[in-house]
Amino acid sequence: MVASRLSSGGSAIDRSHPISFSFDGRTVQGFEGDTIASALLAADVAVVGRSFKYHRPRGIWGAGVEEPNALVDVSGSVRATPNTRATTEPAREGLAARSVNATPDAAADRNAFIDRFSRFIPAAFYYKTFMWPDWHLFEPRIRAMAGLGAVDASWTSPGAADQVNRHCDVLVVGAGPAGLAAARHAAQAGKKVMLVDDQINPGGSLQHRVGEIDGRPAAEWVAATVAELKAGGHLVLTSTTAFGIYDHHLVGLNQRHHDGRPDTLWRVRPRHIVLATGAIERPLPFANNDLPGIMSADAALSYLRRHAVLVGRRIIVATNNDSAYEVAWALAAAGAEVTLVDIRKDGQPAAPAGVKLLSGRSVVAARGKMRVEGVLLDDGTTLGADCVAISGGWTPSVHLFCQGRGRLAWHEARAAFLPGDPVEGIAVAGALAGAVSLSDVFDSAAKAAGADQAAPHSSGFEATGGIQPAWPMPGQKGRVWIDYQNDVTAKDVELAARENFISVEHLKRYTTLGMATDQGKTSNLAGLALMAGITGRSVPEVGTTTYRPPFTPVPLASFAGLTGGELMSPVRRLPLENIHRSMGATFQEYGGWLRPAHYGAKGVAAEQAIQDEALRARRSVALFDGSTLGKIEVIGPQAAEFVDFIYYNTMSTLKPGRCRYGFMLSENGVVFDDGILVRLDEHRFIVSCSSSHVASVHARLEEWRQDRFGRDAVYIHNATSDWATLTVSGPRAKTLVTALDLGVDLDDAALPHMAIAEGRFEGEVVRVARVSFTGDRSYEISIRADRSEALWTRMQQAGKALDAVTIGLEALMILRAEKGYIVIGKDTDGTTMPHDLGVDGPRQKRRNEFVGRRSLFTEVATQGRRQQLVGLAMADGEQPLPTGAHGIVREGGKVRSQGFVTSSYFSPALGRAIALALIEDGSTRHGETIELQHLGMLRRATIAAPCAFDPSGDRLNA
Amino acid sequence: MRNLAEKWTVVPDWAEATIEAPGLKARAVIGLNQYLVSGNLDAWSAVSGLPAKGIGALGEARGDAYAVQVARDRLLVVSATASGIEAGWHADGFAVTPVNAGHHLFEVEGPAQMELVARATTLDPAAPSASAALSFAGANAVVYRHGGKLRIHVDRALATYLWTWMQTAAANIAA
Repeated sequence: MVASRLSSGGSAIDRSHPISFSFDGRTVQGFEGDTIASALLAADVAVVGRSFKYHRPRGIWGAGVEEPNALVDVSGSVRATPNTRATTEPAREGLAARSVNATPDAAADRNAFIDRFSRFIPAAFYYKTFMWPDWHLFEPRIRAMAGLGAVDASWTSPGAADQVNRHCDVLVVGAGPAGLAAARHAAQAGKKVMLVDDQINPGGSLQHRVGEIDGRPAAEWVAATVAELKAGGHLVLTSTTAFGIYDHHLVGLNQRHHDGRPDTLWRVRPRHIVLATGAIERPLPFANNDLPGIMSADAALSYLRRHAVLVGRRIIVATNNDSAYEVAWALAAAGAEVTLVDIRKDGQPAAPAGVKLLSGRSVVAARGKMRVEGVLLDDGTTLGADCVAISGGWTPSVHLFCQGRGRLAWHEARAAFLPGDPVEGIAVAGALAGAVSLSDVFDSAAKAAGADQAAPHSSGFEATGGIQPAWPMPGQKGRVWIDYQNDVTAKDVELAARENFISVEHLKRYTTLGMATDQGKTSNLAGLALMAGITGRSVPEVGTTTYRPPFTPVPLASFAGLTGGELMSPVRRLPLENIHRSMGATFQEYGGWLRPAHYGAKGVAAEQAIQDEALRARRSVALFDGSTLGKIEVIGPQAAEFVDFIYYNTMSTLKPGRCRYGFMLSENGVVFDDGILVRLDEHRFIVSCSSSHVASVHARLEEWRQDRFGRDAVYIHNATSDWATLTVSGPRAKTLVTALDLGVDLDDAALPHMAIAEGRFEGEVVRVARVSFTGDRSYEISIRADRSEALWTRMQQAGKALDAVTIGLEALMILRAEKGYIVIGKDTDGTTMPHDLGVDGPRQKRRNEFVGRRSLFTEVATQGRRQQLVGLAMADGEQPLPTGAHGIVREGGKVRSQGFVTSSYFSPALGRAIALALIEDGSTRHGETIELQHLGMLRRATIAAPCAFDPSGDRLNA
Repeated sequence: MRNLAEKWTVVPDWAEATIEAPGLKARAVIGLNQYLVSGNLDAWSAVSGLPAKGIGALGEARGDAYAVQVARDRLLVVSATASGIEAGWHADGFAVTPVNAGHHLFEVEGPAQMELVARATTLDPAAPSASAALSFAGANAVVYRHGGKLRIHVDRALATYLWTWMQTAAANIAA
């Protein structure tokens, strides 16, 4: 046994609650409070994964989010999740963990042989290979080997993630000593504080580093400070990562729960942010520095103090800074044989008790096969070891600072990029700000919080800032690992330099350094420092790549929140939806509304039901729900001028009580919407635009109102949802409406086609408009939406004696197509202008401005070969044409399109197939037979007028 | 043809439907009169007897008749009884359109109502905002308080959507 669990100690574990879980199929014992990594270490599991490219055996490196090696897919008693970090994932009873990128498991991976061919597969080898003879030959194998973890097919959704918005005075990110102190200062100053930390317990480094604060042990001070904050009503969240700072200092938090609930997303808008995000320890560069058993010195201390795991018996602690001295001392005190190798010759602290110190020496290579067995020093000495705890220095976690538009400043003495000039609204504290000793940390926290109270008096394992840079050197011997997760070595960086990818952004993408799930947390700085050395530049001259959110992975569910299932793109509901359901309607989604497609007896196929509805509609009387039609009121002293400007057609001449059909154009002359305009009185119009365009038409009306007409000229009120519109259409329509007894004179002289009158139904105002989308006599009766049920019921009752049929949208679409009535966006496209639809009068005659006018006179608008609306007639017995079939022209051996079928149905009234189409110069080619092609099949049809049924329009008044 | 009604929750019976969670109760309020008025709001105020400046976001409305600001020159007027003000254009310079049925009204009470607000909108409850028109759970809504309860007006066609959203959010709050 190398690593082992001590019989006492461990601040995070609860020995009274032992647990067991499995890793790669073998049972591992642990305690509640263990992470998967701490339990694996305690069980002396050395190899926990295989590296991405070379499948080298890898052990646990760290104790936190920076972990590059120990990724596991978890399942079993926990929700299946791929690629979690074993160092931050709590161990749970019954959890099943599998190493990634290893078959059958990490210890015995059958792809380990790949490492022998490593010199043929350096960084970026794939840019130069897999091309001949054909990339697709290699693609399946590469896809199979890509990625790390695997998705579990048994995964179930945890439900909709909660998303909470919050405002506060001060958001403190990080509940280590700096963050806790800053939060306390802010709270005492009367601010509303929010404190977050990504670990399960607060305290940060105080969880494993000794310290005395205000005369109390550090752990006590942590607990007391948290309690004080909570008692003051301030929010303290743990297991919560601040993953990004966005525009206007919006901070995104992802809070993990430990009870199976999905994570909670917080969107916090603080007045001030204090970043106390600490620093991350980086490795030392030497050959084979990736062997299992080589780990972060700080992590070794963390496992000892938090989990009572002693990571080795013969441990070498190699360092270039003071922080590893406490580590060496603690490991020796726990019973290990410890040698401390410090590259610094002088200026360092004295050797800790029980530790052998070698000054001015450095490790140049590690030895071992499946785990480390010893090291070679620069003076030729070899030392045996079963664990090597290394500290190459500390890299402040500047990510959030940079996302907040902060710039970095290089500090040679600290060998670190620190936050540079202050950013308004963001303060930095603690190790992030370059503080090293505990007292420095508390001073910086007080400053960050703008506090005038004294910082707590503190003492810790005294450390100075002294560090000797230990970057990888050009030409260094052996395979020196820089990015563990993406398998990038110093030689790869040298290769990038040779190939002239010397900018930091190119270095990153060429070698993939820093591009893995750990985003280079332990590797970015070493890589760019090496590039600096190779290219004769300073580190700041090479610079860093851009820091982007998220800091650590955030589940997509957190971003989705309550937008899944029927909360995504919700449909609008009709006032009478439940009635239609009870009538057995089959619904479809039309233009954002849930509407009946057809009704119909059980067992009758949809196609047949639709044909029946369309046939009966023409024979007796049809009832349908047209409530979705727009009803946007345009009111004001300049309402008439306004509608003249908005519409292609002149509308100001419309008399009160009358309706007119018109087009609205976009500024490039394309027909944007069609519909009816109703004039109620001199100053009041109703724009009855098409159902799917209500929001966009409303927006355009408001835009032109504000832009051109001024705020007291006209007002726009969208009353669409206030009214239900129930339509009665067909030869018996007048009889049915008469039976409704609405108090309206239905004589055609009093209420001609395209007129509107007001009546009453059971005391409620109704508007009766003679508008037809079917081509038959038609009454659109509008009533307050919440009073519409009674009217519909009366219509149904009155209809019984008249053989009325309730029809859905599908039948209505056939009826309108028989008449050649267009549907915008179906029978028109993004080029269709009004004269393409046969409406040329306004373009020729109107003198005043209207939207889109000038575009109607461009060369494109006036040239020939424009696609124009036509009908297509076919012989009896022919099937309907496929919608979208192209009319073709054969020219000089080539085939080109001359337009396409836009609407196509079987017409029960005519007993044959009908179609509408947009065909080049179609209006002058009536009678011509053309070929149509679709999916390799050819059809023939004759160009005709769009209206195939009742061309004289007599049925409007029948 | 698949019946897409299967995808969508049936519209509740608004007279009966409630959402209940610890600290939270929501229901629909039926029967109030509502209209939009735009234009010269001083002139309208002289006619209606209500103040020309309406309640802002999360502001407190009182009594049986009140006005809520929804744009610089537009109010949503809510009252228990009919206002007697004609729809259409008024020569004094304001336009009126009834929206009695077009705006669906929800009322939420209980100490956790602000937890619902925290999930529905990014508005800062502590900072006043002149207009009560805001994005609430992704839908355009008018939100203010009345008698200690939260009132939410939403387009009738999206009422079922908002109800479903509130049910899900209430479950998250309770968890």
